[in-house]
Amino acid sequence: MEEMLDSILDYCGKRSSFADVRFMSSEENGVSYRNGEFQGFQTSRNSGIAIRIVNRSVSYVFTNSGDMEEIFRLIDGAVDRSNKPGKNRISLGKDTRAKWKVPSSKFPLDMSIDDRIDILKSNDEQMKTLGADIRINVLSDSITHEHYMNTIGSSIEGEYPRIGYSYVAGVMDSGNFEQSSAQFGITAGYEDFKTMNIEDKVAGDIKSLKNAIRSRGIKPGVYDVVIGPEISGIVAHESCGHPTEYDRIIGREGAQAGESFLSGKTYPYRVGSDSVSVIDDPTMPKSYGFYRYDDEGIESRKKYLYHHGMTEEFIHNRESAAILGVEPNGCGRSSDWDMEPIPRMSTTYIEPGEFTLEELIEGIKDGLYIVSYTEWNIDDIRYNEKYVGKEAYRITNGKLGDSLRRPVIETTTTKLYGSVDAVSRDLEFSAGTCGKGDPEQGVDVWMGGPNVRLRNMYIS
Amino acid sequence: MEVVDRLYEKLSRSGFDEIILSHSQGSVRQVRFSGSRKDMDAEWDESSLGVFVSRGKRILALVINDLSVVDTIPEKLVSMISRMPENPLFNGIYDRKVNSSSVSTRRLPEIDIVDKSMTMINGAMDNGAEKSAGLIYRKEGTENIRTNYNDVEFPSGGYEMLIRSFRNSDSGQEASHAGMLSDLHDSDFAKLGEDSARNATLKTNYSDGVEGKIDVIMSPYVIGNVLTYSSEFFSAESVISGLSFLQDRIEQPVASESVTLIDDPLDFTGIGGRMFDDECAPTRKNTMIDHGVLRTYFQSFSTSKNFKTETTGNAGILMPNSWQLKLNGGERKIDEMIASMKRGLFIQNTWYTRFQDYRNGVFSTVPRDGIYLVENGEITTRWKGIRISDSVPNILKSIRETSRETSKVKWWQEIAATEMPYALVNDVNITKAF
Repeated sequence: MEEMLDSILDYCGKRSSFADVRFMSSEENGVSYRNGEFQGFQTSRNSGIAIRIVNRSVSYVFTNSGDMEEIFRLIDGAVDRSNKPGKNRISLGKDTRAKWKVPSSKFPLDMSIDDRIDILKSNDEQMKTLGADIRINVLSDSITHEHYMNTIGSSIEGEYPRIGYSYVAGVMDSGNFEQSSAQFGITAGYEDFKTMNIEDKVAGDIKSLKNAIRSRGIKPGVYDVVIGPEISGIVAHESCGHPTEYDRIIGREGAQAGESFLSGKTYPYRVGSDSVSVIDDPTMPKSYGFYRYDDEGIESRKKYLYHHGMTEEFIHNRESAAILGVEPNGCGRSSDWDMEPIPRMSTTYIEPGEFTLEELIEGIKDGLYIVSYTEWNIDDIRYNEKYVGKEAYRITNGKLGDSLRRPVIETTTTKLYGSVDAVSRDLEFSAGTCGKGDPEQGVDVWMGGPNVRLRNMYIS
Repeated sequence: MEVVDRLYEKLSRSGFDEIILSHSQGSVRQVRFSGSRKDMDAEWDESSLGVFVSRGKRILALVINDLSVVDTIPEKLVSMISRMPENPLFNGIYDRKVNSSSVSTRRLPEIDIVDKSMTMINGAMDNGAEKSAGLIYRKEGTENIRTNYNDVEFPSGGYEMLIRSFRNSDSGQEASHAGMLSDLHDSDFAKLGEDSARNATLKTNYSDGVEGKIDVIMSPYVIGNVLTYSSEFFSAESVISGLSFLQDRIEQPVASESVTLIDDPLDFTGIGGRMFDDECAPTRKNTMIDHGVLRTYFQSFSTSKNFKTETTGNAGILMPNSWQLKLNGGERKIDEMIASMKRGLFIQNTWYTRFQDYRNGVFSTVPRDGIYLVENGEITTRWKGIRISDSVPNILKSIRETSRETSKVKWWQEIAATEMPYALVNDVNITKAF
């Protein structure tokens, strides 16, 4: 493969001011179990090459052809198109040569079909025993190999396994219905499967659904609120990670996922209170969004997106970094070989503080603790957001009380981050698949955070 | 294709009861722009092969795009399927002989998408836009589906056009599609740009949005988004899973009498046109809701046996799904609908639709690209920061009228290829951020 990539790069190098080529192959498996019955097993083997040509503008070729004549013909077309006017700024960075691999003692290839089905069956039975009427469990795994090369001399090879798990559970009671969806993921082999603690999460989830379905909503009004790690994680992802993607800030996603409320601001810009900082870190071992080098050959690193309530660093690929005039920071990700690398999150989380959960609750006279969420959404500039509570409890005079049904936070980013007055020392992560780009690309991420206390929030 | 033929022969000698091979091959071009300038020009040259095999009620699916390894597949599948548990709900694949002589051989019209993206941008800039972002796709390919019972090859493809225009913090968006039998003109691209700019600037003064129930005229993009996200509820698989509010509602009223919703894959002026489904059953025009009454779910051959009915020609890779939804148009034009509205909202677009309760269809979605307040037949101001927080059953039952005009709309992951009118919906629940 290296010889083929060399030939392609050599051909492109003579016809462009900059070019890169990326080979990616992946083997993926998915198996599902529904309401006590096996549904199906799907497997895929995909590979192909992405070629980027930069001249007066940028053009791409994505092909899974192995015919060099065909590939050269496609490159010729791309070179012609790149000689027409358009944007063409790209950060070259430095030449890097590296190999990286996530080691595993039990790769997905070593996992038998029977073992996979046993996992699903066991979780289905556990859900049923706990009282879930609707149960859908899905297990997926993959192993990906990638080789990136460019015309300034970089050559980087990487290989990593990933395991994903998701479920939907539903509980019915006296004509009412409550549902829960959860997703888990690790960049590791099956030897680390149990670290996802799926059984514990299922047990807590079904119990809370059964509580919630018999509970009442809260009287709309202004309350102090503690949000749990699942919610602080989605908050970090949606209203910090996305608005700090610099391609959004400059409008490149304008017709799809949208721009950013940070567009046109003077930086650093105050987003919230001093108590809140948000980090994006692709280097966290075994995290679902882990990678050592991004899909443009840039080494990944940890960075503060918000620091003590102020914007600090943005999420960049080579293109957006060149436009801002900074070095790329290793966030150029593509979901597959046939997608362009664009600025993406990895593991995004609110930095833990010094308090315990009990201390956060003790500091509330009249409020609520929203542990987890069901429905959520946010506007396209990442400013107006909504989180509907799944597991939630009343707080009165510093003590947890009755369960609440579907309390709603509908607020703005600056109001939410500006209302943070204390952050716990806990830190938990949830997995997700983040969508962006056109064609739409879903990339694996972790979202995380501690328990966070918000003052004076309107809850309905 | 030789390699597909070879694989089929090997699989048919490997002890499987039923086989589906679906080979797709094609080329996609995309020009993408923002800030009114080209960001990139991309070409995809791809092929892939889907393999489905069954033995009794044991099933297995494989997708590969490296055809050099096809000779290794049969042995692997034989080894795997014997270890699969049975899927008790699997009832086989479509087993009747189809007529493949009706397959169209028309090629997609050739259009210079770089030039046409400039036509869209200029249309927007000439009508008050400060900048615009968007893209054009050109997709063309062939699909070959081979089963124990049929072997057909048919063309696929079309164009997708998207432009969002900005003026200050206001925006307007147009997103359309065209299929193999479409007849696109330069003026069509210019109009998309012009309309996106016009929609951004219908009114530029803001007033605070108010929570509560209010009548809403939903643009083709808004009702298209709600119906795209709701299309899974019509799938027999969702009904079997217990995650559809349409469960046990066949031949019952689920919408107002104004609503007739069809799925029309036989309209090849849209990009959702398709001749055969994924198991080689001929596609057909299906009436899903007829004057408010639910007539059918989307069915494959296998799911239809569980419902004691026939396939609707909607078999997909994972579950039966829609191809090209159309909501019927009504009598009056959109201008007349606005003129007769006493007080309500005219919402241009929406996104990020999410459900908290699938069984009851409870959801919210975030309007964008123009939320206009209509008072006594006039657009008086615009709102921001609101949300439609309601349920699909309520929306369907509250559609009072649809416009005479319909538009082909398709936008990113938010709206599948559809044809939609404007829809007047009574008493839509609006919430807002505090």
